[in-house]
Order: sequence, then C-alpha cells, then structure tokens
Amino acid sequence: MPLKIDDWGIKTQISKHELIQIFSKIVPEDSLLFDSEDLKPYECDGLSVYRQLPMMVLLPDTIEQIQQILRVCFKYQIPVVSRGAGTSLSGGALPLENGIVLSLAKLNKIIEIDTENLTARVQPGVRNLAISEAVSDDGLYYAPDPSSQIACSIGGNVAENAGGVHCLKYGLTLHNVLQLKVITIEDELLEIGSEALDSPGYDLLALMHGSEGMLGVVVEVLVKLRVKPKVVKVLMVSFDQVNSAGETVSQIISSGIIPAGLELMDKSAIKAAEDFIHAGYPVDAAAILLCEIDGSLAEVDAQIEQLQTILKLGGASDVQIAENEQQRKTFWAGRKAAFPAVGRLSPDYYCMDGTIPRFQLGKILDRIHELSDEYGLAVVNVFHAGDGNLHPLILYDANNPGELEKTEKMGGEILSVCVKLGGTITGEHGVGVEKLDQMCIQFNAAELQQFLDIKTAFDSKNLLNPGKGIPLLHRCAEFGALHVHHGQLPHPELERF
Amino acid sequence: MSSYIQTSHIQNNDLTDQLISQVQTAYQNRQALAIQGNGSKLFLIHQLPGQPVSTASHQGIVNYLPSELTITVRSGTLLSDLKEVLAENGQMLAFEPPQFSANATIGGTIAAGLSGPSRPFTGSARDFVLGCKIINGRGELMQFGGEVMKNVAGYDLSRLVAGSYGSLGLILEVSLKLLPLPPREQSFSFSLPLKQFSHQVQGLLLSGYPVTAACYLDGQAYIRLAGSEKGVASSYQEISQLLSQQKLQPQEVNNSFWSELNEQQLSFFEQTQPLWRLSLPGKAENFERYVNAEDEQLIDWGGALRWFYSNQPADKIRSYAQSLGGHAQLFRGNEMDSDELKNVPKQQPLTPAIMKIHQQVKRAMDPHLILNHGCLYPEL
Repeated sequence: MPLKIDDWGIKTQISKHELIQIFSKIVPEDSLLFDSEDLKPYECDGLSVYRQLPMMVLLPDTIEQIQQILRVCFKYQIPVVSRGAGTSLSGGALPLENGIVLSLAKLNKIIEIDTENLTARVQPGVRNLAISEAVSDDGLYYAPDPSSQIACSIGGNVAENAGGVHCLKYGLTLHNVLQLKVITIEDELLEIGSEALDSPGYDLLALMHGSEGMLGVVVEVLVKLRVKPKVVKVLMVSFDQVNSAGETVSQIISSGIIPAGLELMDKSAIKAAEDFIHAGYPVDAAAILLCEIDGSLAEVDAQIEQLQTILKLGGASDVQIAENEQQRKTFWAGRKAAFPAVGRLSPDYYCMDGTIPRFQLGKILDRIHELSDEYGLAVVNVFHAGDGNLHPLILYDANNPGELEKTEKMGGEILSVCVKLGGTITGEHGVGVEKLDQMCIQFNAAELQQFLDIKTAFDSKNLLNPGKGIPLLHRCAEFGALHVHHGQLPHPELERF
Repeated sequence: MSSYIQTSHIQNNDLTDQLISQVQTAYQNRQALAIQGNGSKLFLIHQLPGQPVSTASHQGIVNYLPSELTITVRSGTLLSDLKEVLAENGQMLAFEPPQFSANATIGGTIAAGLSGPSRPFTGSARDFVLGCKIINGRGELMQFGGEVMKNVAGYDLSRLVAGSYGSLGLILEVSLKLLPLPPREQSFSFSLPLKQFSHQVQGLLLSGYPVTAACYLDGQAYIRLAGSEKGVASSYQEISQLLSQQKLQPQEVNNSFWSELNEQQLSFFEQTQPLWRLSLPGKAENFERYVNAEDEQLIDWGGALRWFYSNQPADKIRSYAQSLGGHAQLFRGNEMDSDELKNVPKQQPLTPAIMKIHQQVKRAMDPHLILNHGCLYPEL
C-alpha cells in the first residue's frame, strides 16, 4: 500500500555505515539492529496496511543511552520514531525510511509503588495491565484500559492519550498521570509535572499527552492509582431499535448517573461476538447496551433501581444483570472480543475512531448505514457510547484490487461526517499517518500552523516523528480540503481548484 | 432529546470581531496588551503593563446540552451566572472553582486554572476543559479541542491555555465537561492529631467511601461525602461507627463550610502575614519540621495543599516546598513590605531547562510577547 509521507525537508548528514559505528559505541551489539531481517518485526505497528523498514532500530536500556542517541540524531539530522509496544492503530510508530526506530521496550521496570500516595513510578515500556496486576493485592488499579492493555505500553499510552472502556468515569491517560520524565531532541532531561497535584508554569503535562512522540521521548511516568470499587455490576440491555439504544444512552447520562462503562453494539457486532465467544448475547436484538455501575453497595443499588426505570421508558426489550463475577466477565468478554470476532467474518477490517456528541448517535448511525450501501462494504458498529466514541469496523478484502482504497475513502467520509456533527476525527487512536488528510478538514491553516510552531518549539529541526500527527499545509492544499473557517480563506490571493 | 437551554439573565453579547481586531492591531504595532475579565484574580499575578483589553462584556452561553454533560460559554460570562444555570439543570463544575469576587468570569477562572476542595477527588480545572476558542498573539482566531469527551486530533492546546493567565492566547470561549450535582452531600468533623490526618483520609478512600473533600484545621479533620441519598447515608453511618471504635466523635458540619474555605472566608483567612499556597505530595508530613510557632496553616486536598501564613523568608519557604517535591506560590502579600512584595516572584522559579521550553512555547503562541507579558514570569 503506497503511503504519502510529507517531506519535512530533513537532510541526513551521515551515512548508515558511519552511524552504525557511532551507535555501536553507545548500545550493546544486540541492541542495534540494521539487517533487513532483524528490522522486519518493526516495519509496522497495529495499522499493518502500511509498512516501511527503518534505517535501523535501537533498543537502549538506560536514560543515558537515549540521551546519547538523541545527541547523535540531532547532530546529523536523523529522524527518530519512538516505539513502545507498537500497538498504535493509526501508524504513529510506522518507521521512516531514513530514520531510526527508538524502541523503549527494554525500559520495562516498575520503579516504585507508593501505596500511601497511591502512585506508581514506571518506565515507559511497562505494559498498561502490568501496573494494575502489580497493585491488585493492595486493592488498587490503574484506571485507563485501552482494549490493547495486555500488550500496550504506558509510554505509548501517554503518546496517544489512550482511553478505554472506563474513561467515561475515570478519565483518559492525561487525567491519570502526575509526572513525566521526557528527553528532548537536544538531549535535555525534563521533569514535567510533579508528585504534587499541580506545578508552576504552563501545563506542559497536558501538552505532552497525545503528542504522538513529536515533542519528546517519554522515559518515565508517574501514574495515579485508584482504589478498586467495592461493588461492580453490569447490565446487558437489549433493544429492538438501534436509535432507542442511542437515545437511552443520553437519558442515562441526563439522569445524573455516570456509569463506569457504557458500550453499544449493533446487530452485526452482537452476532459476530456471539458466534465467536458464546457469551449468551441476544442475537435477535437490534442493539445491546452494556452498562457497568460501580461504587459502594448502597450507591450501586440506588443507581440500578434508577436505571431500571430509565431503561423501561427507553424501550428496552430485555434487561439482564450479571449475577456474579463470572457472568460479569462473560458479558464483557463478548465486547472485548468484538474486534477479533469481526476478524472471522471478513479477511480484513478497517477500524475507525470518530467521536460525536452523544445526541448525534442516531444521525451518524443512519449515515454510516447509507455509506455502507453506497460503497457496498459491510460495517459492524461497536461504540464507547457513553462518551460518543465510535468504532465502526469496515469489512473488506485487501486481495480485491482497489478495495482498500475504497474502504479508506469511505472511512474518510465517516470522519468528515463526525466533524460536521460537532465531533472529531479521532477520539483515542490518534492521527498518526492515517488521518493526516482529515486533519485538513478539522483544522484551518492558522490552527495547523500553530501546531507546527508548537512542534518546532520543542524540536527545532523537526526530527521527532516527522510526518505524523500534523499535516504540512501544502498537503492540505493538495488534498483540496483546507478547512475554511468563518468564511476566511487563508491566502485568498491563491487560486484553488 | 437534548435541548438548548435559553436563559434570560445571561447576556448574549459576541465581541469576537472587536477583540480580534484589537489583538491584530497590537500585533502589528508590537503593543503589549493587558487582557483581563473583571480582574478578580489579578492579585495572583504580576502587574500587567500593557494596554487594557477586557473580555468582561463578551458574554453568553454558546451551547448547552445538559444530556451531553458539556457547555460552551463566552469568557466574560459571570461564573456565578454559569453556576446558577448549571444548578437549575442539576449539574455543576466539579472542580469547584473559587470566585474570590462576585464578578469573577469563567474566562478568568480557566485562565487562572484554580480548583477547589474537590480537586484531589474529582479533578482540576484543566481536567474539565474540553476545548477552547482563542485569539493567539498574531491576532488569529483558533479553536482547539471541542465539545466531546475524547479528542486526540492535534496537540492539546486547550488544556495548555488553562492556567496560563491569558499569556498564550485571549480566551474567547471555553467548552467544559460537567458533572451531575450529587443528590446528597454530608460533611462532618472530628478531633485528630495532625500526623494522623492523611492516613485517616486514605483509610476512608481505601474503604471505598465517596469522599469529595478533606481538610484539617485547628486540630479538626473535616470530611465531605457526596453521592446518592442512600449511598451517603449508609457511608456516613459506617464511618461514624468506625470512628467511634477509635474513640473519635464525628460532628455534623454545614456543607457551606467548604465554600467558605474555597472563597477564603473562614476566620483562618483573616490573618495578616503573607499567605502562601503550598502544593505538596500527599505524604509530605515532613513539612511540619519547617513550621514556626507563629506560622498558621490549613491543610486541604487530603494533605496535598497547604494554606500557610508565615513571615519566613520567601526563599526558605520555596526551598522547603521544593525539597518535598512540591512548589510554593505567594498567594497574598498582605502586610509584606511593599518593596519586598515587588521583588518576590509570585510563582516558584522554573528550572532553566523548563523555562527554556516555556519561552519557546510562549513565542510559538505569541511571537511578539504582547499577551499579558510577564504576568507569571518576567521571561514569558
């Protein structure tokens, strides 16, 4: 699949051979990979339609090594793509042909768990789930739970500002991190944030989250831990109409209940999950909602009582409450296995990540349905309905010539509709290389230029993950979708076609 | 179906074009601007030397859909009006921003980035920012984030703007995440030695009780619970039993205690020494060794925030805070000698490396340094 990477004008000033000589003095032999066979595992991330071998891969295991590597890259102008577990769904960790991949996989230690202050200090390569596992016996956990949490690393979570099923109540990565240690491209070690709840100056901690490895290399993360709720209950609610399910989501939130998780699956997703995992899902329903409530026993009971009324009024055809922990896990198993389940239906699928205001759920579902007919491509819908984050899965077969291109076009249209409905092109997967064109729809030229200026403020030679996250303005001009804001066209003197 | 709430008592007045033209002219003339709402938080920053620009009349609710738990509001809208509209719809700003004056605006609230007693339990001002519309230092109108809960398109500039006191952009509109008002709040206090305070609060959290505020003043711990009627009632009953087992007697306290604390209206705040705000890691009980006999303190945020009246030298207070992993802000000079006050930075100094990044970020947003230049640090 050919991919258009913007040319950021980086002129590397050293040969691969010379670079190997220099790097071999910084990291051990087995931490420097440059044969194409060794590079192969790094050619893509979770968005595997795009592949590119890097010039080389480095696997440092100390902060000092990373500083030395970046010093060399800055001196000789070598692009750097930082990589955690490589689970990004937007190509954020896709290598660049003339660049290095800086793997943080060897920085995988939990440095300190502080049960008094409810924090854990970890290296960036630590897996998301490993943090919760390490503190489980203390009755604690780390809240953000992206679906890749078994594999994805906390450094990558920071780079993407990862969300997950429970972020409606417990926030995104950004809300659960107190401090970062970051190395800049000029090998300066910065401490951003602190052990206290706030820090003087600008909120650089917020800025680092979701910056997709373009502003610095995260080498340490201080995360907040939460106390596991005493009681957790899950309701599985069936509907005969998808729109009633969508409407009920708004009603639940309006009533003052913030569920720990609120997920919607449409008929095709229910069927795929049920065929795969046999969770006892109602295959006749048009949609189901999975609604998780947690807290103290009295709190949970009070909310479930209130929910029963709302669900009845909302036209639910059936409500099941998981009776025990085993059943709760089974209810969730179907949702968590939805993607692999869809993988059995179709040779390939393409996962979108638009977000919309919740009340637009009906409209976007209708439009997705129309587009599915128009393009002749089936779509399976699973949503983080509570926060309006959609994951339509477009089914296609990459072996059919032109079908991937058609899929991408349809996906692009879905994202444009999300923007029109007051939403965004990406809720939690990031822009990466995948949504650069859609960035031109969401932002105007001044806004994009502001992003580029912020990048340069951290990275004067634009060496950190160039070509990801933010499109260059000429790309948008070529894409033909430079967003016009308030009727003000940037550079009105230029003709546009 | 969600509905747009039209309220009669909030003005609808859009000054966007006028404000853009003011900043554009200033950019062309390299004229420093002093941007403010109604000035209720001006005492927190250094003097603004530039030409005044007021956002106070830029008012109105742009969009409010209660079922979405979000609101978009113009910066000059009064915080008190906003809170009233939200309360009418059973909602609130969960970061409990202090007003410090009846005419505080929401723009100033976000620019100052201050959060109240609930902060450790529900989140800070920036945590609830979803998006903003600003004018940058080039006089360009730009919009970041949005009205949705999750958004990772582009850098998170809307949260960067929170707490920057207008020095990165003139805030025109903010979109905020809202939370439902809890059906019941219950506050109580009990006597406790200071050194047991943080531990006691943590014990309540570990037991899963819905604590939304915890402070310590004059030998008393104050706790607030919030949630459903039944949930709070049963939690309070259980806690009372637990405390009585420890021979502690909880006394019910009026919930207004917390707003008096937040607005600094408790008699504790009538002292005349300089008032410092110390943000410290929760376990920083070692701080007690730095407290002199004539110093007074109120501990909030379950131990993570100290209101500290002290005549000790600024440098000393700053180095104590820093040695414990936190920072100290000179909140009110009070009777501090006026020459000294002028020379004492309000904010904890930044390390050279962090300052360098700050300066570069400032220049990226405001290349001619015209927006509230020097309000936080002389370099910014």
